[in-house]
Amino acid sequence: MASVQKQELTLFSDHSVLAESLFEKDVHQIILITHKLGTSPIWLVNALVETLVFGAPLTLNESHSGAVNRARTRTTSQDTNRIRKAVTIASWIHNDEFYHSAFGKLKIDPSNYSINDYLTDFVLKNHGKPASKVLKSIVQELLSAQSQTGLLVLEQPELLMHLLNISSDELHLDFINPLARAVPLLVVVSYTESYDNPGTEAAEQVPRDTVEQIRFHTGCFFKSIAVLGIKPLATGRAKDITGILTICRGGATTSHLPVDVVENEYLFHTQKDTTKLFYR
Amino acid sequence: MSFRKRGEVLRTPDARRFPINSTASQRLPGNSNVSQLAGRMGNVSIQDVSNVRTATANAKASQLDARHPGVRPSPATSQPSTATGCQDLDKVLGHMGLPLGQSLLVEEQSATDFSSVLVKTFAAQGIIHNRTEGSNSVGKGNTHLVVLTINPFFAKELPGVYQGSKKDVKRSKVSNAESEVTVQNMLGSGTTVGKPIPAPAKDLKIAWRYGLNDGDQNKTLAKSSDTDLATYPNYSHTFDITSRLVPAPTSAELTLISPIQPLPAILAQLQAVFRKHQNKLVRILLPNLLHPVAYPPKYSKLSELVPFLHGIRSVVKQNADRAVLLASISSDLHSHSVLTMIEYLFDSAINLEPFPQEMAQYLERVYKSQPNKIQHGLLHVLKLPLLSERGEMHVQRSDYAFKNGKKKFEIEPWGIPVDDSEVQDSKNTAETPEVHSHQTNVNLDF
Amino acid sequence: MASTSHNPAILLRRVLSLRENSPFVLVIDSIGRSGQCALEEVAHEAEGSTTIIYVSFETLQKPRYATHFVDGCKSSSRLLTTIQSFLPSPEQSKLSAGSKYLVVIDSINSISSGSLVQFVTQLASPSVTLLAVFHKDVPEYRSVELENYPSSLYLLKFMASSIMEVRPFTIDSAAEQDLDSGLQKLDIPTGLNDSVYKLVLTNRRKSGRALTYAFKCDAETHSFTPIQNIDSTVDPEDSEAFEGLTTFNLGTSNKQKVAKEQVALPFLEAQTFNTGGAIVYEFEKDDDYDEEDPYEDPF
Repeated sequence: MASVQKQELTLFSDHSVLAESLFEKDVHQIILITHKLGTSPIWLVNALVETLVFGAPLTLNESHSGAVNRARTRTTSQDTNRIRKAVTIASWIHNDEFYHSAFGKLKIDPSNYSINDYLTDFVLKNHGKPASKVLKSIVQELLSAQSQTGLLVLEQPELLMHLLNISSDELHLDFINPLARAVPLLVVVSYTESYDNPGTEAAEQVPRDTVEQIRFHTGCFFKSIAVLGIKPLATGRAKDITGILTICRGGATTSHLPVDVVENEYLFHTQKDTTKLFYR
Repeated sequence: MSFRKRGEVLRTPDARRFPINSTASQRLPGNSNVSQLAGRMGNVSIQDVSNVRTATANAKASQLDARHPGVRPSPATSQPSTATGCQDLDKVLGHMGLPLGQSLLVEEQSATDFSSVLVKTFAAQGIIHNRTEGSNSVGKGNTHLVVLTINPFFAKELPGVYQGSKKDVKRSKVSNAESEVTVQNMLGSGTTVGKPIPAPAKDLKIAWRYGLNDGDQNKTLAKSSDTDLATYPNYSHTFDITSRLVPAPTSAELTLISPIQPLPAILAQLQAVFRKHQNKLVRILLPNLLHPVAYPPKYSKLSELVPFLHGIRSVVKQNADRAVLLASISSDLHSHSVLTMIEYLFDSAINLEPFPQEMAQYLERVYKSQPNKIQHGLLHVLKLPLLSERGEMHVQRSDYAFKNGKKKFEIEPWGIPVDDSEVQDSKNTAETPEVHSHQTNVNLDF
Repeated sequence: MASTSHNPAILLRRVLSLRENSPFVLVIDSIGRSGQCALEEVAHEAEGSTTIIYVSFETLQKPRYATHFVDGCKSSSRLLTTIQSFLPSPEQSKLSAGSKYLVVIDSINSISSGSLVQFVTQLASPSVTLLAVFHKDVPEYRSVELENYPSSLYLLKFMASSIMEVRPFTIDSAAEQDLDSGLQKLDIPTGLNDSVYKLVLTNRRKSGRALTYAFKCDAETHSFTPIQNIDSTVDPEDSEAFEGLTTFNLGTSNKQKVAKEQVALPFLEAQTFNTGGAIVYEFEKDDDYDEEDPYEDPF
């Protein structure tokens, strides 16, 4: 694979990963990241966070050593001419330590992000409390954390359905919607390994838990302007390829934006802490 | 001394750490429990004070002793890892063990119970680590085991360390009997209990008791390149599943928590264990998760199950520098979506698929002359600790086969062996063993 | 009949511009093609004077064409009162005949099938058109008491006066099946939700008789091209296909066909393993295996 041309990640028609126009006033959108068994979305989240902080996904789009150098020069120049937007991460599966070490490796200054750890003690704190109250307090926590939040990443929010015993509709209406309407860009990271949608016309009765999971994921799809799907190769394990990244349009319209989502399919290879993209 | 049986072994504590005089009196069988308890209480209180100080001084520093016998750096990520009790599983996990702060799920298809072997050796390995520093460290120790089970006899069912083949055992018995500090021997040699015992003899004995049996030593000699055993002598042991760990672990070494209490109670008890056993490695076991006999039907609901596992995961991650978790589950009983959710809440997962009847019969036929070669099933890797989390693809289906023996749970690369009876050629019979060694590496899903 | 000679494209435009007397227009969409495009077409065709009340369960910001933007909520009765506060009362509507009201619901899936009928009948009226999107891919859990009650999709289809089903534009049915099996696992391929899509319009006349037309639509040019149904799929074994080609007899008799089907193809064993690319190899006595030679390994 060494001879194969490395590719750069772009999501929007202006050749950017996150177009500037996404962060204009009163514009809100959702991007959905789906992943399956055998892949992890952490590198993609890293790339989006880097894009917001440095202006480009430096470690993904360039070789590592060069990237760090450029990151330094860029951050110093950016402090003057660009309003820094902060990143908020909320995770129900990883604790803050996980993200601190991941972002530390990317040389992202802790002042650029805040992490809301909803793994540690979440059950102890909230077990048995009314779900609507818990949801409301999380929304408040997330929105008060950074008034300047440009990007809010929710990792595995679907766990809330089971942690609080609520339906997908409640989660969407009382949690995803108010958050999405408060920040310019909301990224929902979701594990879709068990997603198997028989459709509404299927005669078989699907268990309630499964129905709610499918409803949640499908609901996220219809709200998103773009879906970044990662999955392993259909043929299984390969030495030089980890999986496929598919960038496609979501169910939400982009007619209010000056840019379009550029659909694309990449092969990617993750090894140690670096990921490389190749065209399919 | 009148109450002591003549042949009884006196435990010899490690003289390097403890002066023999003070401990010898603790070890008198008659009052050992009392003194042991008192000693333990004393140790705990002293430890607590010192620990608060270190915790405030440097909250990030690992609470574990760097010389913990059951911890070594992972060759892949240099993260500290601990032995699972099955060397082959340690290798499959990619870290020569399970990295601290990580959890492993062992799924098993069909109604067999191979996973219980992994569970029990995982438990026994923790106890052995705890006893490595000498038997009087039982109370103090370096490792604590937490088992979330409703089985009150779990502690009594753990396997003991493999003592070598029958011949080895006989030989060792003889040499042990000679060197052991029995009343008889002592009287014979004219020493009294209070006097120090020469160090070499003691070392040998401890080596015998705690797994440095010659099986392992021979292996080290055979593979001079394998320096692991030399660097980490007490890291991993071999267990004989037909034997029992003697003495059975007590409540000082093992805590049983019922998994079917209200969730806050389980988590509170779990956290209490971490508080009580500061500076110890805590190995948490969750055997037979969702087993219908133990778990009431409501646990099949994700709204019951997810908080349960999420809470446990939270405790493990909070104590990431000194906690590991192993769970086993029978995967046939649960729907794909429930199982996927459970897998997702673990850092690593493997799936055991015992061979169906036809395949088992085929293997029996092929390995007629070498019954110890018969594998019992396939081992699928779904996720590996740390490596999968950072994005590497580690789903390996049908790459490995496992076989369970008296001495070992072995995992090896899987290939379908060639059937001799089908290759009906008398001339080639001499060559067939060679064919076996070239097992084809074909991946097949049955 | 007059209706059959109707130009389908004109009918579609009448439905989109709300001129066709159709109080409840249902848009059925799927992950492959979201119904947003149909909503935008209606907004594009509708007269400027139309008051559009947009009820959002999924949309994050008020669309440009919407007059009022209403947040969806769980309770359908509360939602109903909120919407009705923007609509004229029955007396008012008599007075101000001619002013049109359009209620858009971006996802009617969120309203449970138990309260669906009441919700629709209370909103749809001659002066108020209800335009609702239903996602075909969103399953619903049916409680025990609604076990025998029709599913939401059937209820909506039954009540709707016009149904627009939007689909991705695919070349043939095989491609469509491929797509569906991927989407079932949420493996979303590229090329979906494109500006070009397929729209199947089912229009119900007063009698309840339905007429169905398919269109190829382009969201950018707002053009609709009716698709002619070509159902003459040619059977490759059909002997008529060979007629006139040669003087040889290329057809197969029934007896030959049966014989052909019974032929066991080699390597059937390989096909029985469900992983697909398995290699089945058996060592035979004539095989000369040289372990030194790396090219000797058949794998």
